[in-house]
Amino acid sequence: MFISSVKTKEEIMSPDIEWIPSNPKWENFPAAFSFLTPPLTRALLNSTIVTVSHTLLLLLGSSLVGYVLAKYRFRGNRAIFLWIISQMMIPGFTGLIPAYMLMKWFGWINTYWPLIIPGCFSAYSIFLMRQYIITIPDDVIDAARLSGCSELGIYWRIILPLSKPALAAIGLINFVWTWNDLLWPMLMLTDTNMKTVQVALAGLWDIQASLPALHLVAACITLATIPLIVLTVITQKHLIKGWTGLTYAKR
Amino acid sequence: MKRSYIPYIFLIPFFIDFAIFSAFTLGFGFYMSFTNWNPFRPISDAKFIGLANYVEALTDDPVFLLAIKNAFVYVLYEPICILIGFFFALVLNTAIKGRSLFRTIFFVPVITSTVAISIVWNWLYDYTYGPLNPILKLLGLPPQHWLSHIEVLPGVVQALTSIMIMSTWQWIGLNVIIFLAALQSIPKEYHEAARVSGANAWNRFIHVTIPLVKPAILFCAITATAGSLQVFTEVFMLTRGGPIQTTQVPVLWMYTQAFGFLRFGYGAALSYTFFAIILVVSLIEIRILRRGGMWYY
Repeated sequence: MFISSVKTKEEIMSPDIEWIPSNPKWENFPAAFSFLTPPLTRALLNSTIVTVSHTLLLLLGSSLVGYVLAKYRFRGNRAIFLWIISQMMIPGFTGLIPAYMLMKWFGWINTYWPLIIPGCFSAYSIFLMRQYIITIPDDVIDAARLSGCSELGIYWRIILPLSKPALAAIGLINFVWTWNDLLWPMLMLTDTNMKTVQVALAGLWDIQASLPALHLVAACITLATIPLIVLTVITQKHLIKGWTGLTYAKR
Repeated sequence: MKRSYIPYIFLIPFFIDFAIFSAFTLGFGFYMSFTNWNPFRPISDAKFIGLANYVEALTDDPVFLLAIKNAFVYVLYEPICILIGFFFALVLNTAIKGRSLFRTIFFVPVITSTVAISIVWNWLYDYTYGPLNPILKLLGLPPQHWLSHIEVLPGVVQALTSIMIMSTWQWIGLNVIIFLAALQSIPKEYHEAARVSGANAWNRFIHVTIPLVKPAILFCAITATAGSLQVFTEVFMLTRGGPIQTTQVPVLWMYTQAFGFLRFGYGAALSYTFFAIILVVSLIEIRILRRGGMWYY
C-alpha cells in the first residue's frame, strides 16, 4: 500500500516512475554510505552509542525512582509523585535554550553526554515503572529483607528481574524515540563527525538539491531505517504492549 | 533508623538531575526571558528588560502569531487520524487472515524516523519529479503544488495541509494498534449479552463498543494534542517554515529566533508563552473530556 510505495526500497531511481525495478542496482547501497556527511557508518555508530547508553541509563534511573516511590513510605513520597506527574505536562522545548547554555558551560557540546545524561529520569518512565512496581507483592521484598538482602540488592536482584515486561516496553519506546530525535541532537552536535543518523539525514532535506542523486538518498534512508525495523520486528509484541500499556497505565 | 534514609539516598541522583536539568533550567530560562541576552556577548551584557520580550512576542511578531495558528490547525489532523485509525482497527478486529502482518505494516511508519519520512514525502510532493502528480494526472486531476503557499482554505496554505497528510499517514498505525488492543479487551460476554437482549449490530456498537473504547480514544486525543502542538521535525524537514513563513510553527520559530537570530532572551519568552498556551489548552481539554466520561483523571 502506501508503505511499499513510499518505502522505496531497492532504489535504482533515475527520476522516472518504475513501480517494480527491472534491474535493481544494489551497488547503490555501498555508495550511499559515503554519500552522507558524515559517512553513514559513523552516523550509525553515533546514534547507536547514544541511544543504547541513554536507554540503559534511563531504565536504571527510572526504575530506581519508580521503585522508591512505589515501595517506600517516606515523607515527600506523595509530593514527589505529584511533581513527576506535573513534569509530564511541561513540553520538551521549554527548557531548550537554557539547557543549551548549560551544556556549553559544562563543555559538553559536541560530545555524547548531552544526549545521554539529561532526561534519564524521564517523568513518563518513572511514572510507568512506579505503577508497575506497585503490583509486585510486598511479601517477596520482605522475604528478601529477612534473608539479609541489602536494600540495593533488593532492587538489583528482585525488583529489576520482576519488572522485565515494563522495562522492555519502556526501553523500546525510549529507544525508538531517542534514535529518531532530531531537535536536541541537532543542537548539541554540530561537529560533522559526531552527528547522529537523523541529523545527518536532515542535511538531505532540500530535495531539489539532491535530485541528481535521489537514488542514493533513498538508499541512505532505507539503510538508516533498517536497524529500527529489524528491532521492531523482533520485539513487536513488546513494543505494542508498551504503547497500549500506556493507555491503561492509570488503572 | 537506617531504613528511613534509604529512599532519600536512592533518590539522590534523581534530585541532582532534577535540580540541574529541571529546576535550574526552567528557572534560568524564565529569568532569561526577561532579558535581551545575545549568547555571543557575555552574560553581564544582558540587560533586564522586563516584559518587553513578551510584549513583542504578542503584539509585534506576526510570524509568532501565525505560527501559533498553524500549530492549532496542524493539530486538527489528529481527529482525522483517530477516526481513520479507529475504522481500520474495527476492520482488523474481525477475523481476517494476516492480521499480524497488517499490524506490522501499519506500525512501520510509526517507528520510522520523521526525518526519513519527511525526505520521502518531500520527494513525493515534488511538483515535477514526485510520483504524486503523475498519479493525479492518471486520475484526470490537475497536478498540485503540494508544498506551496496557495491557500486551500482561508488562512490555511496547501503546504500545511500537505504536512498534515504526511503526519496522518505516519501516525495512523499508532492509533490502530491502541484501538485494536482496546477493542480486543472488550470481553466477548458483553457483546453476547447485548445480542441476547436483542440489540442489533449498530446498537451494540453504540452502547457496548464505543463506551468501552472511549478511554483509549480520549487518551490518544489528549497526548496527541500536546505533542502535535510542538511539531518541529516535520516542518523543519519539509518547508523550514516557508514559503514565506506560511508554515511556521512555534517550536521552529523559537529555534530560529534563539539559534538563528541569536536572541536567547526573546526565544525564551516565546517558549514560555507557548508553554502557557499548551498548558491552558491541555487543561481545558482534560476538563471537557472528563465530562465525556473519562474517569481516569
